[in-house]
Amino acid sequence: MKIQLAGIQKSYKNRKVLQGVSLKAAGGCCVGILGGNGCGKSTLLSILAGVQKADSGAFICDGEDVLKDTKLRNSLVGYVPQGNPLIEELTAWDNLRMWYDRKTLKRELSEGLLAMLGIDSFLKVPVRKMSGGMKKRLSIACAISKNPEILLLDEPSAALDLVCKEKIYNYFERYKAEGGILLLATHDIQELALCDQCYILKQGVLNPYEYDGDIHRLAGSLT
Amino acid sequence: MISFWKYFYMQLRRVVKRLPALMTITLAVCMCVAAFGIIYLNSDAVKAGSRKYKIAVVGDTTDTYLGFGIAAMTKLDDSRFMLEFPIMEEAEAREALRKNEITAYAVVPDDLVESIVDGKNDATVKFVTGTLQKGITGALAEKLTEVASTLIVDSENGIFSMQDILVTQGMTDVWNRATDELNLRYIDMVLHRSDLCGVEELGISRGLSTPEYYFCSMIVFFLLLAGINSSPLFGRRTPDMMKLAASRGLGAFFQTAAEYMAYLLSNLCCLLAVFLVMIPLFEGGIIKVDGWEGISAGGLAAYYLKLFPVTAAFSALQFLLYELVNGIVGSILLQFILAMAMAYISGCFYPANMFPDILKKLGEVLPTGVGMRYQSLCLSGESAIVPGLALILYMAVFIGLSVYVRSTRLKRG
Repeated sequence: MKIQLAGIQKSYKNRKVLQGVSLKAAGGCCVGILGGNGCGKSTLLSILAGVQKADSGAFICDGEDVLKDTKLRNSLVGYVPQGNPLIEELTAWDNLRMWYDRKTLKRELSEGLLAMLGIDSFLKVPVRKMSGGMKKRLSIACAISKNPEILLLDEPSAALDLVCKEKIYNYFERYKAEGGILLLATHDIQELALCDQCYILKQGVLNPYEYDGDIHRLAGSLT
Repeated sequence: MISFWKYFYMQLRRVVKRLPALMTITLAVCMCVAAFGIIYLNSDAVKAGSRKYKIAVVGDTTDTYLGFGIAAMTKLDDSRFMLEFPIMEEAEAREALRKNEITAYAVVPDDLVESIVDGKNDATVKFVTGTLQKGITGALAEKLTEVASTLIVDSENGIFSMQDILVTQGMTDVWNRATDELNLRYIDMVLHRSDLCGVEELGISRGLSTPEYYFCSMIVFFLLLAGINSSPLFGRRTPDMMKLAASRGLGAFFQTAAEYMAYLLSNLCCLLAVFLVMIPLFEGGIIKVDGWEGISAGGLAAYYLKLFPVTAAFSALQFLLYELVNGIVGSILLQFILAMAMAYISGCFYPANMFPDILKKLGEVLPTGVGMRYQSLCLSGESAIVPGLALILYMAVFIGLSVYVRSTRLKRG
């Protein structure tokens, strides 16, 4: 699997949020997109997920533009928004049932990726009683229901404790190892360590960035 | 791709989880309203009519035409729901006004009718009111003048002119019949001020008795307020769920439709609970709606089913408000204020005939007004297809607007 973002543009009225965003990635790769608040990271991921429409540009997966093919996009792309796409009144099981059929869900919970995320330990807990980490793990579980080959994650480990972060990062490592492509919009230094490629989105333009552990240089590049 | 029915099923499940709480709150509110209503309807004050505006008439009211005018206002016209005209002596009226037992009094000079008939118009009605009552009595005085001008001045001139012509033409044999016919036309003209009833339905507001009218009003008002109960469910927006569903191919239209259907079903369940409580109250004679045949369990069940278009339209309106405003407090406030305003303008609290024409027209075309009209036709056993379709149209418009709002929100990310 290879993906390519080609010249994605998006404007809100007179404000150009994305000005020809382009990048390439191959299977088993994690791409980190860095940027200040409001720079357009979430907008980029929403466009790739099909929530918003780009003014122009393409999201090519193995030669097919998935922005124009909803069915293909649904089968290839999983999306975890910044918040938690969960129904507060329902339990983890109920929320998962919205995205999984019963048979697949039981299998995934016993031996699949959901087991790795530790979902089975809080299946009967209503979302409103869950911790932030449980909600985030459940959100990821909902997003990967169709075994997507590309996973878009908007700040996945923001405000999570270390134990939760570790569970999620382990999952990401396994996802990469199985040939999946991760696109992370992030502020988190620990998440950057997972990334094979980094980009900085600034004033609508995406530029490659080599993260060397120097946080001061990184902060300087963002401003 | 997530299916519409799966999304709807999950929305339904979240509603079902909260349904016992919703129904309990609904019933508690309804019981309070019902208790208040029963006490109110059975109170001596109401029986004595003290909730109406009383305008005492002082002076000579023995004239046939003047007496007829007052009788028409108190017995036939829609204003009877708000106005009462006790006959008093001036000293008695002044004392009553001082004690706040009446709103105002009108002194009719002895030679009023003669003055009008003779065309002198030099006798004027003195209208006396307290300072604090100036606002409402000003409006009432205007209304009375309007009725009196039509009923007394114009009608008498017309009748006497017609009688002169009949004498001149030697047609005295049809004198009585022609006079009666002309009188009826005048009555029809006066009672048609609201364009809501014809002379065949004398004394009926929208074809309903007073208890029927207020029964419809209470149902409309309850349905308007019913949405507030669901604020904890629908008042909080879940943008991430919307985004995820949209990314899985379930767009704004299907999301809105699924959530609206779940919301409508919850409102229908709450309304059903209210009707289930109402059945023993009606059948036990605790609540009476005079003249309405549908007070049996079967009648109420049939009426509940007929309320579907009203419930659907009001639920769609409430759903739109939830889409527009984020947050529980904001949505409760907006729903409450809008419910009060719409119910008032459409005559849920007082018959709308007392309002200025523009407000009356507005009240009739608002969903609440159409809902009242629809219910009144259902209660009186007439065809309610037109207002029923109008309510369905309202529902479609509100859902359309909700879809637009959600779609815009998704586009903005």
